[in-house]
Amino acid sequence: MVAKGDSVYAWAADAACQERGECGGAVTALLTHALKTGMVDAVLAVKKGQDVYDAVPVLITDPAEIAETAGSLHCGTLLLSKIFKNYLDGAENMKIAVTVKGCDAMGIYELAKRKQINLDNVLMIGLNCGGTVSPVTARKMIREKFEVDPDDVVKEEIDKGQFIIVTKDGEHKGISMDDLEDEGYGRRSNCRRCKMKIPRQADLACGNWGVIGDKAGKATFVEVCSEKGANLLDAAVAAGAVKTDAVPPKALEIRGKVEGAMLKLGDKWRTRYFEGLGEGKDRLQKIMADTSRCIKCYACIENCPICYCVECSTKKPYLVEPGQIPPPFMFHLIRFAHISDSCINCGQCEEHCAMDIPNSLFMHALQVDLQEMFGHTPGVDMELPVLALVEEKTERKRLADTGDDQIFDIFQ
Amino acid sequence: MTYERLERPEALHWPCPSLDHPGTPILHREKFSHPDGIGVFAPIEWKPPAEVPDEEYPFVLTTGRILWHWHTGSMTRRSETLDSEVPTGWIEINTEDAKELGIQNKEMVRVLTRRGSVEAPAKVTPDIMKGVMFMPFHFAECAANILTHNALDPIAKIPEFKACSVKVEKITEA
Repeated sequence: MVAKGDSVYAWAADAACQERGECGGAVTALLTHALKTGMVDAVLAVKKGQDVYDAVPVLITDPAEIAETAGSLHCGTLLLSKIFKNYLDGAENMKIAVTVKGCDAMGIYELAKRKQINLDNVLMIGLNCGGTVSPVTARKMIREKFEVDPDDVVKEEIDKGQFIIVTKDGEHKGISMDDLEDEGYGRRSNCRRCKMKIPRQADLACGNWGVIGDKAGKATFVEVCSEKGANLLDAAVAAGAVKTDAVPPKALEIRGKVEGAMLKLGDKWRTRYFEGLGEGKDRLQKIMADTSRCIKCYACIENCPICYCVECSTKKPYLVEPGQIPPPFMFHLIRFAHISDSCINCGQCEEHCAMDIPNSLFMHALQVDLQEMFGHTPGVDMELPVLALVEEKTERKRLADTGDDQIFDIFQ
Repeated sequence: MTYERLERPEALHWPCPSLDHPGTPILHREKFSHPDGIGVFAPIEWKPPAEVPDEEYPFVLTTGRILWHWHTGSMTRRSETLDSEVPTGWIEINTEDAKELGIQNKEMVRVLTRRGSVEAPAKVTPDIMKGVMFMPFHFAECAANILTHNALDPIAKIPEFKACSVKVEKITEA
């Protein structure tokens, strides 16, 4: 029996599952068990599409298909959070197990706060994530730095600070991520700044950091983060689907070191990026200059896990004059005002920007400032943000009608 | 060019004449596609449009497309998103010209040429030259081509929709 706060080594009992999955196939076995036993109605995960650079989200109801999602895809730049809202009724009518990176988990919490996802029906299997690489950058990097045809790569991984590729001829080649990033390749900018490497707000947090000795590569380090997570692991062990072993103390220490090093690297990149933005008026000038490329395609708003309004303020003619390209700066100010207190730095607004505007950098810089000022950390729990969007007339009417004096009570 | 090549993240730029051609992101960068690699320029004598501004119709009217709509709008004007960006046409008038005519931004005005007249809201802006006015041609309710001139180029037979003479009047209540 495990409880919240426990850590174990875990691996799939089934040999095929061990082989197919990474690090012993524990996640594949846990998801399969959850779906087979009806603990959930479906599994939302990511599988390989065209090639190793193409990650595709998939909703699985047949346990036999879960194996297709085994293994990591570092060139997948998806965010699963908004799929719940846009396509799955916010998990209102279906119990769903989902694999989550830090940003996926944070996005799910932010949408849950806004009543767009029912967390009771979501079982989150957290995955350690050191960062992702945009497919175009990855292919360019493999061609130019690894001097390998990107189409010959059958597998990639990030391990011990290196980006490692395996070619179809079985050749391994690794280059230090630091060196790659100093030369403008490597992870996405938001991933470099990320400090949510082990998503402990999920029900279980799984990964290979801290798996040592004869278990290295053969087991997954599983941190139990909730009662729901404990129940899943216990049930899978009781049913003989998953095997576990105690974590040696040395492993905890090593895991701590890996995580610590990742967080330190995140801080280094934050300093570099935020200092590059300048302060005060200089920062404003830079943001205004870069956003003047905007073609108002709405990709940033469509993909943001914080944006959920039915009536978007950017579509109000009295706020943003319609029909203008670039749109008036108010378009961007509305995004900053509505999102910055809750931005989780998932990078979607930058990844999808047709004009390569560093939107995520701007929003994240604002969020970090707001976090310092008000102490609110988005994406980690159900605490409501400090600032919030209100429709003034409705809000005034609500205050008058109810005699309430709590303003900005928007989530009712 | 093959679908397989197009499906890769970096895609492929036309022209791409063979299976192993890397594609052409920028045309004519090294040379033009004439045998000697040099472009051919032919000077011509400038000729004014068939109709030029005079005392009665003192402005040049030019017409064109805008970013949000396509031609008659039979498709784009059905899109809620595009319709909310630009719901109808307008006539663009230089700020100084508008001041002299006593016309305010967004005021409905009557636009007249020797062919006919339409009513459209004025868009007063310094972005257009003094003496020139512009109308988009996507909007049936203020159809620019009621106003334009059908004079044809003698050889290519292209009509002179891009230049005619126009006047604008304030609409006074009867």
